[in-house]
Amino acid sequence: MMKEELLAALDQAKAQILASSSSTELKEVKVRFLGKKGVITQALRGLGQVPPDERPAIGKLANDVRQSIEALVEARDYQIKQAETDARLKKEAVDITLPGVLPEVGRKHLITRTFEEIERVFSNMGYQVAEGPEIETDWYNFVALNMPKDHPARDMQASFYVTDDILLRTHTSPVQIRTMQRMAPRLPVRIIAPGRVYRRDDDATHSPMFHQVEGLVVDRGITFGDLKGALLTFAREFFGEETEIRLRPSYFPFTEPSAEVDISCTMCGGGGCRVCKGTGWLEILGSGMVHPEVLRHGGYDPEEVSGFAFGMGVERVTMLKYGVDDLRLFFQNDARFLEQF
Amino acid sequence: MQVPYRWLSEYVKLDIQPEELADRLTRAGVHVDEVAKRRAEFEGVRTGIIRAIEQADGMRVCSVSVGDAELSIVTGATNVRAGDRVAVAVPGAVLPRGQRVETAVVRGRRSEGMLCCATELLLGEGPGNREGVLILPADTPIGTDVAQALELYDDVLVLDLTPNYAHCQSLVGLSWEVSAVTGAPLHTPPTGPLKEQGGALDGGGTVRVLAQDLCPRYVLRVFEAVTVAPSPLWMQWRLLLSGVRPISNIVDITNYVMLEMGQPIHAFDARRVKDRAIIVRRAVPGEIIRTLDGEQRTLSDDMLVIADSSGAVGIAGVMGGENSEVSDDTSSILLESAYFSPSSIASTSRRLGLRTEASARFERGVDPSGTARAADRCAYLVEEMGIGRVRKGVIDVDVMRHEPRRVLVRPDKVNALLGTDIKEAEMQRILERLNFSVTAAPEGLWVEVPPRRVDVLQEVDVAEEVARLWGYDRIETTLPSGKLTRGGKSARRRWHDAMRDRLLAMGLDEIITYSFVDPATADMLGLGPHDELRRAIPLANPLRPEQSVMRTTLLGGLLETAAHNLKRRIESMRFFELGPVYRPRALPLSELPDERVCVAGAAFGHRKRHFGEPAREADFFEVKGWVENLAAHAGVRPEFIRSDLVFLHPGRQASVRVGESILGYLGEVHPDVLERYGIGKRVVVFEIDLDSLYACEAASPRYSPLARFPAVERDLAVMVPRVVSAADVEAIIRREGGSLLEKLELFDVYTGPPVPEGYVSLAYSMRYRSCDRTLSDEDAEAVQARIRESLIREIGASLRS
Repeated sequence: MMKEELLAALDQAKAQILASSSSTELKEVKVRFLGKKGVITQALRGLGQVPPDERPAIGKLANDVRQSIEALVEARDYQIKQAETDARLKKEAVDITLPGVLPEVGRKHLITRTFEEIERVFSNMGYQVAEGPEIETDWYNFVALNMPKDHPARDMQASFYVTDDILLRTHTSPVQIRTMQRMAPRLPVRIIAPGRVYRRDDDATHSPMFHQVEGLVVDRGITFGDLKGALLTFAREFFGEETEIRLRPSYFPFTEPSAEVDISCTMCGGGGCRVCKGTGWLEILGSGMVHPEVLRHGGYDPEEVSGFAFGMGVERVTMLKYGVDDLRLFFQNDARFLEQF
Repeated sequence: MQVPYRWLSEYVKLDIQPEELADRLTRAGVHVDEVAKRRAEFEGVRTGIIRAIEQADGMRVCSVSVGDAELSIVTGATNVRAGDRVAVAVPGAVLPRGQRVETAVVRGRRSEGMLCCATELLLGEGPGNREGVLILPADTPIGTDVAQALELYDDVLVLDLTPNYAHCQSLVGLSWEVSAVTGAPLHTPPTGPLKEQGGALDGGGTVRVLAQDLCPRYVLRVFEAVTVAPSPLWMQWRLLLSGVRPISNIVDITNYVMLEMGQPIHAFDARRVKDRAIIVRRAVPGEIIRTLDGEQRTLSDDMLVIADSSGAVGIAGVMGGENSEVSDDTSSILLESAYFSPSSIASTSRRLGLRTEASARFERGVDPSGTARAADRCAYLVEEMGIGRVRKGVIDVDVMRHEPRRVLVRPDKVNALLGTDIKEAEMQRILERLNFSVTAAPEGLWVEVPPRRVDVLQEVDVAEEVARLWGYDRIETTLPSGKLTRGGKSARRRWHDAMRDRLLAMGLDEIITYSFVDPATADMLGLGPHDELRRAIPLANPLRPEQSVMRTTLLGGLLETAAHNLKRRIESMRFFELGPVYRPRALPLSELPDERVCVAGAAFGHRKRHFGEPAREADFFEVKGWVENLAAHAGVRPEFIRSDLVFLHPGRQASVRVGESILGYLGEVHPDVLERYGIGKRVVVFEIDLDSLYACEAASPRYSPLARFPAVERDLAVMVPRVVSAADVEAIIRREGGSLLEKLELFDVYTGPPVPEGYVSLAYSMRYRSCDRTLSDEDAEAVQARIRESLIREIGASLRS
């Protein structure tokens, strides 16, 4: 008799468990059968009235039924939780095409970016970054660089004067003299000097303020070939490994021999295009072997040491590298320009 | 310098294309900018011959044969005769400046074209139509294109000469360079023999040089019985191609010889130089002369003039005077060829703002050995062209020492400088190609420099000559050897970089503005008359007033940038500039000023907003956060103290103080200032002296052990009168919290009901922790109680729970 009841209860429980669709419902079913007053619990309590010889069998059956129900509940519970999780996740789906929450990060000015790249290249070659004043004396800006008063080369660099003797530096070259004076007689001198410079020109290709990087190496046995090597290394690191350089004789009062330096065109690679005016080459900087007079002004003996120097326009190389076609953009600070880099 | 190729080929044999020559010269340092194809600017003008002339109604009607056609052409010119060969613009011809020639009817007579004058053929330039119709040489073939017949075409090398290549400012000088790169032989222009008719120069003219330091050589020649007229077409054409305007035969010859030999020449009308007595002297201070360009010039006593006994007749080496100018009726010429001190000419030309072909050449240095030769060349041309009679003899006042310059060149030294292994014999060969004479000696090569090479003074100069002709591209590329050095930046510069990175990380874009600003900036900012920021260094020669003083603050650049962008409808921005400001130690400057690196930033409009978030407009506290963040990098905690800067909102500004020094300011820009800049939005700014902040930088932070005992958290809401500042409240909390107070954070600021008017509610969260035991709730409560009591007692706070 009891056996039938237990089996019927199992069937009922099975049906009710399967029918329950939420955790709460399932809990109720579990209580109904396995709780203190539950069918199975009651049945086990009434085991005393069962004839002793049947007790073990009935007892075992009751336990089996209880375990079955527990297993069923657990399985169903798992199913229900899965379904509930699935439903919740489904509801929580987002439109993945909405924009991400970007931390706001500002953009370096392109000129700064170029300065840092140049500084990195030369720092790796052992150059120290040096500085000097922008408001300079005539002596450091011109005389010490072998350009006495009325020297025709002064015309190449129209100057902004403050007094007869003080002017806005027209190039970063005075830092050569200041550095040598600070270092002499120690060797070697290896520096670059980035900074603002000023010339009294303002048109589509000249800005009255612009930026230069000066380079200076002084040591025993420095050659023109070394100058070529330093510049080739720079050109390849800055413009790309396939870049070639070309040196043309030129004139600066503070170097002898002097050279204008071209790189193979960054647009066409040397084949000739609009940017390089069909020549395949782009002029990027002036350079040369430090003039003996300049070494002397710096406190070195030109019979003992030699050196090379170069100076490049930062706007110029930046325009070539990033394809900027209007110099004025660098100083207008238009947000639409700043945001591009 | 513009060099007509065919003209150049008279001095050096040219059997290569101009483009190839341009390339080879450029690689040797004579920079050729471009090869310009210059052609006569007309079409349909042919050579013709006048068959007959018929006089009719005061007109002359010419029958002209142009080979395949007979034309009837009316002309007003009186210089044509039957049998003359002329340039005929046939109907349909186009002359320079676009003038079209068609068949016309002149007073009833058909005119089938036009007889041309020289001006009409020469690019529309030239001395005018004084001669009437251009008469061509008698051997000119009939019926050919005039441009072909007269060779009115050439390629022009446009040189961009560096100042050291003074010797290339002439065709002869350039021909030496050409010969050096091509090996072609040279032909120098003939200077004789001269017929030199007439008596000796004696009486023809005199020269007295009173300033031999500025004029060490002066050569004078005299021409008589001169007929001034336009020069022949070929000469005019060559001058035009060289960029010089033809004027008259005499003046054209002086310019022609200058272009040819590099020696500037001046011709005076002998009649207009008193007693034909030239005096070379310094100007009298304030002396006035009207120069050939019609300008009145006031001179000073360091300028050199050419004068007669009654006054200056020219500014030496720069420009002649109008009072002695050659004119159509000039009959005698005093011809000057001189050597003037380059620095004197340079300073005179600069101070007068007067640059001429002559001054440019004197300034860079002309060949002091060629002075007399150039005068002879002029004389030769005068005779050749049949313009006048050359008086016998020449005056040559010469105190120059024409000793050759000799430079010792040590080939191993040159090779050591270049990094080459050029043999001594090869160096010698290169130098000889440049007309240097070389003598080998045990100590090296003794090199004699030709006098025209004023730029070659010492061994390195010769090394450059060797290098440029050897070829820069043949010098092997190496890297410097020697002691290793540590590359990198100074600590100060790394500090600037770190500050920049910090600002970028906070979302500010970097800007760069000019160092020179408008002095009106001070007024735009409303600065008081004695404000330190007004003490800006003025430029003596600014390009424009808006860029005439050196900035003392970065603020102007920030506001201009804000205005620029707002005008372009960019409604919100965060940006900064890191750069120098210039503070004079004394004005006017007697020593170099203090250049201090500052950083300044600005915010306007809302901060970048993500969807679903409220927009937050730029305000004082956003910018204050930037400043706190920068200071945190320096390891310092700045104090913000109330300030009264006129350009900022009086209630929304602060000075930034660390220790005893004020490092800068921050605040909302005053609405009056914004209005002056045309800015219609609130802008909040800061500016900090980075060099000063660097000086305050704390030592690098040290590790402290992580806490081992748990913390107790508490909140406290304090209601205080608005006159009490949060800093006061915080100070009390920190004092009472003592060492147990690990962290204090303000999490809410509230005004409005139920907080009574004039009060503000500040809500803080605190974290208490002991480093040696576990704090109990009672421990924390005891501290809280002390804090509450002090707040009530000291600042009249009331407490909300």
